[in-house]
Amino acid sequence: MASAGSGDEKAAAAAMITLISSDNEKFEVTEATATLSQTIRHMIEDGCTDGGVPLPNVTSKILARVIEYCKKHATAAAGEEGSSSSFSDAAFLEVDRAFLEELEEFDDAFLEVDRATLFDLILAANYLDIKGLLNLTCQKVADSVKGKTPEQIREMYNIVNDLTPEEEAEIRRETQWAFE
Amino acid sequence: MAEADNDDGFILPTDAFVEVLLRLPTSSRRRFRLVSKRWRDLINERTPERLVRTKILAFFSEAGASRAVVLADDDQQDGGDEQEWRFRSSCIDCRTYEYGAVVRLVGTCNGLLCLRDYLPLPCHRIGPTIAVVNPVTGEESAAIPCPPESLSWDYHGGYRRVVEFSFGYHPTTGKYKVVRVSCTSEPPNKRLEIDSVQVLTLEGKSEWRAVPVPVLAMDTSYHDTGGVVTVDGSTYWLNARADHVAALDLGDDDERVASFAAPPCLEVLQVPTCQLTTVHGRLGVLVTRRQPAMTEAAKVNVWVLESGGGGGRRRPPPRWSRRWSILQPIAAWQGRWVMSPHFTHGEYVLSKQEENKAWSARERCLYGRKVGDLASGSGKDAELWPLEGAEEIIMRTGDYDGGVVTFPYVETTEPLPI
Repeated sequence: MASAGSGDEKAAAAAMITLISSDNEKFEVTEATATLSQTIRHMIEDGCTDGGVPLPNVTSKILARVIEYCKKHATAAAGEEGSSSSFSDAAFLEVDRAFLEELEEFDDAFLEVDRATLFDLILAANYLDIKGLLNLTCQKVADSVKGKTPEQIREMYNIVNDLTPEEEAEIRRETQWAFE
Repeated sequence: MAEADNDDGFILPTDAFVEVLLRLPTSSRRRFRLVSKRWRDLINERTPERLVRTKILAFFSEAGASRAVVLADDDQQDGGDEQEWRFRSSCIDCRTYEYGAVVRLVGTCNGLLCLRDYLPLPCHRIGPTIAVVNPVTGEESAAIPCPPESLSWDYHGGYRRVVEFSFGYHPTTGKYKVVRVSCTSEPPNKRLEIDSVQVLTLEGKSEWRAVPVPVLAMDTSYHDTGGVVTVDGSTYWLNARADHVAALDLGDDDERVASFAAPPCLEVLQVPTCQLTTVHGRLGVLVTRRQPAMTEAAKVNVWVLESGGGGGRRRPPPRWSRRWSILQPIAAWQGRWVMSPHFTHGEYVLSKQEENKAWSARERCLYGRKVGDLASGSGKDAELWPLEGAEEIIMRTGDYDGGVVTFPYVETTEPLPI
């Protein structure tokens, strides 16, 4: 908050945040969009966003997707706040419902990515602490593995089974909930 | 843990990994502990898994509407309160004592109950059906018809028919299956022969499928009191002489009946009374023998399948051990009897006593007796524990002679497979 300059400049600077990806690409986003990330929100509160926020764990490709998500959901959050004072208004509820449906469609389309991208999005959501995005992406992974056998999961993700036959037998027994 | 991170393709830091695990259904999470050490440790340590405790579910079959009672566990912190659910037979006309429509519990898996609505033959409107419910979420599957049981008509005409069901969950494929074993004898005092083994896989379009029983390779007889029990994804029953255990691996899509040697307790002279059960997640056989010295009591030896056996191909030979012996009265209508198929619970063994109170009213008591650490002590022939002196856990009076059975139960939000 020690930055010099006129009041107008200060307001403009506060409204826009620059995010810098690991490959040094710069993204200008509004504060409302950026603060969907708790990590960035804290940085803003601590006043350490001048000169941009370096995100060394996030590539430009992934950051672009994350911003796309945040923009959409920041609008949604603003919409919710706006309508909260007139919740009894049927017209507003109708608008809300339509918007929520649109948001759901957006989320579904957003998740149409390959596995590597999905994992990168989880990493970014986890690092940036974006609850909605983390929930969305983790649920997608959970849904894609839940019907699988342990063997199929090992094949899918190239995981080495390092359990001994004795350990496996023990787990199988416990799996039946037969223990106290 | 860092090594596992580098090796596998499931590249997520622990926190994010846990977020994924938390969004899995309970049964998947439990199954995935078999993926690797990292998966096992994270599921054990970082998900609600470790807080989930098995409780005793006592199922009282009663005319028209049976009760499932999940017992509060005083030995556990936050053991919760006793819960009770009632399950009504679908045929209103048959719900009376005379007609004997009764809902029976086939089994429990991952917090799901598999119920069989047994309707007697005079009811032609609805045949016997199977359904799966999760009493916690209130979800209930559609009723699936069971194959008809027409021969039971002829009980007095020279046939005797026994039909047993078992509900199983395969720990690696995650599939739920119901096994139906149907046997007849002719005349009624002859040994029971299996006429069909059928499997119902609970998924999308559920249909009963006949499993071939190899006629030449094994004995296709059935042991009267043995029952059908599913443990660790395999379903078991005994042959009439109780010297072989038949096993069906539910992990295969084309199940086959295999067989292996029963506990080495058989003397040539007399076929003992046997009952299959579960003992701490293993297959157990309760072998009852009358004691020459004791006129009132019989000795029940508890045999446990330590390793090997099971269904499927290329299984190692079975290794049985005799864990303990228990005394129980000779006659079923007097004194305490061991419970099945949930026979051991923590440090307790469960027993029951049933008594007629008035015409058609029957009192059923369930007892638990603390006997110490039962999970260990493998291979040791332990002392004799009489069932008397156990504490009463629950008592119910009902008007149908349907008895009480016990199953392990966990409270989950497991979705229905169908």
